[in-house]
Amino acid sequence: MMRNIFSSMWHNKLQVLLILILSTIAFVLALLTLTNSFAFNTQISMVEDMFSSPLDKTYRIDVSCTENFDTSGVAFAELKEFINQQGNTVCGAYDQTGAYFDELQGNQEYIALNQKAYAGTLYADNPSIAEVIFFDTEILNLMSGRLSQEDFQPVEQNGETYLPLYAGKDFKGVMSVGDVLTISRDNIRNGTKYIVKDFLPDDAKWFDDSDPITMPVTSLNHKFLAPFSKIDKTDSMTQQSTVGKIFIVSDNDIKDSVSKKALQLGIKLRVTSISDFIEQWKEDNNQILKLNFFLAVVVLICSAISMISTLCVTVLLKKKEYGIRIAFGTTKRQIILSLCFEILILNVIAGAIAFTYSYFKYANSLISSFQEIYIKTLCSTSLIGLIVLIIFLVAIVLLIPVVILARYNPAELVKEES
Amino acid sequence: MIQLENISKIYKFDDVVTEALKDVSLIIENGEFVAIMGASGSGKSTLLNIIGCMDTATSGKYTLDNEVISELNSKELSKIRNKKVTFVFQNFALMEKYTAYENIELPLVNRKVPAGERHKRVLKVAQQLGIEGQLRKLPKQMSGGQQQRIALARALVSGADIILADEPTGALDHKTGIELMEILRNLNENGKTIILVTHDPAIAGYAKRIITISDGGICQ
Repeated sequence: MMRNIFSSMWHNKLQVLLILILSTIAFVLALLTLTNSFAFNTQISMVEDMFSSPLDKTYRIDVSCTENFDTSGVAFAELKEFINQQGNTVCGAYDQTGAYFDELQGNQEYIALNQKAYAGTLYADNPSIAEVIFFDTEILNLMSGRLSQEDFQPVEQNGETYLPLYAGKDFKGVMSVGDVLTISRDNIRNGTKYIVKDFLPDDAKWFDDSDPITMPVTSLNHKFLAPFSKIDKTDSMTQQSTVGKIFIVSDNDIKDSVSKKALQLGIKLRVTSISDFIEQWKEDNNQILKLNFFLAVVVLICSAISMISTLCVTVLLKKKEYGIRIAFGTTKRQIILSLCFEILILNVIAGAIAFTYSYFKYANSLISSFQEIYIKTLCSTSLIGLIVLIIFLVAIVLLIPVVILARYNPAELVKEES
Repeated sequence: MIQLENISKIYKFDDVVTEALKDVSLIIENGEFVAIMGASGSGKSTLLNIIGCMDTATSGKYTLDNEVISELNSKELSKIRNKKVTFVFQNFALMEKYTAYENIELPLVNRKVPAGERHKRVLKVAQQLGIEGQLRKLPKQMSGGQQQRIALARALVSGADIILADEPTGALDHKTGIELMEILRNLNENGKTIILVTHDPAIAGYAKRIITISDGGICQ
């Protein structure tokens, strides 16, 4: 039967090409809609999972302007201190930055590791760099994870004080627990010493540096975690970098008091609960998704109608051929099955093309942090959706042509003129 | 042996009932060359279609080589069409997008004969009929006579013992028509049963027995 199917496809190249093009366009749109929709929800869940506190009681501070840049570091520190002094309230911020540890500058193993990890990124030319997330330890109270404020208390050793440092699991072979790492090349942290306290587990995640909510969470496998030093906490450059990455968790409605205090300190800001922020984000995104979905449905309907028309015309045009085949031993059932398989094969090919196109589209056009979510969604949920869609489309498209075919009288067919 | 007992065929189109065959009883022995003659609409093609299992009778019993055909399902009927009977049609009935070779091998493809074996059998039949040079051509690239030889090759390649020819010379010129009838006569002499539908007495003259049909019934 397969030989007949491929032979029939070869002899009807134009029809095959038309169906292939229509199905591919429809499937690409359907895949993009499904992937965007599911990936968006996955991303939201991942961000929500990062918080251990209730989202309606967790707030994000967005600073719109500060009166004096030079003193803004001190102002931020005062504001956070004020918030942390309120009852049942915690405030903390973070910032990811590139740092150079003196002890790792000549470490070829470390450099080789980074060269591999940073290939094609901004850090490709600086393989001796380290990506460090500095943070207020208070932020750990509102985040999920195994680390707590106590884990980041300064360590006294041999009469010296070190700040604790947690390294990503990628660095296990390059350094050991207890190793001391110094930052000398940094204007702010010049001479600050850190001690490797432990390695982070494989599944350790942190908020993205550019936006903690709308960007996917990032893996800590190739990063370091360290608390802000005393200097960091009041340094204007460092604290300005935490804008948009300052969180509060509070049982009280602290929006007004925080805004008021901030104004006194020369900071204009907006406090939004994470739940409200996500809700608004979902709403904005849903409008785009609805438009995508509508487009996909329209294209699918158009494709289905075109395919039905093409198949009906084909079935009418091939009346004589069917009659001849029946006269020489083919059953009507075999002809119907051939038609079904032919359409199924075409749609599977179209589905494969659409899937490959979508895969490379996501792999090439997205920034790396989005790639994982989108490609994972494409290869799981969207793929299942595509298979269901192919089966559904084939069934719908074949209904009318098969009914036409089943009603034919073989003895009459063979006498049909071309 | 073909044995028809009280075969009737009734067509219904909305409220209009047409009796194409009325209580037809007929025996055709193996190796016979029979011509069925009759005017247009007399039921001769319907009779041929029933004998060839392309159509089923409304009532009556049809037996082919001791097998009751009227009791078979569509799958079993398709096997009969593939192995025991074969057709030559007036309009040649060739698949236009397929080459002569692909047209000829059709019954063997349906029978799932391996490609190598198919190739041998197609070539053998093509050589017998002198069309081995036409096998790569499409039907539209051939003359009427060549097309009818392709159609005949397709009928012969299956190895079926009964050849049903429905006005086989209807679309051919006189000379080519005679050539075809000579081929059919040779086939009959080699043991094939030929049942020929025609309205041309000269063509019917090649048969050893002539059955005349009129208004759905056999006259003689």
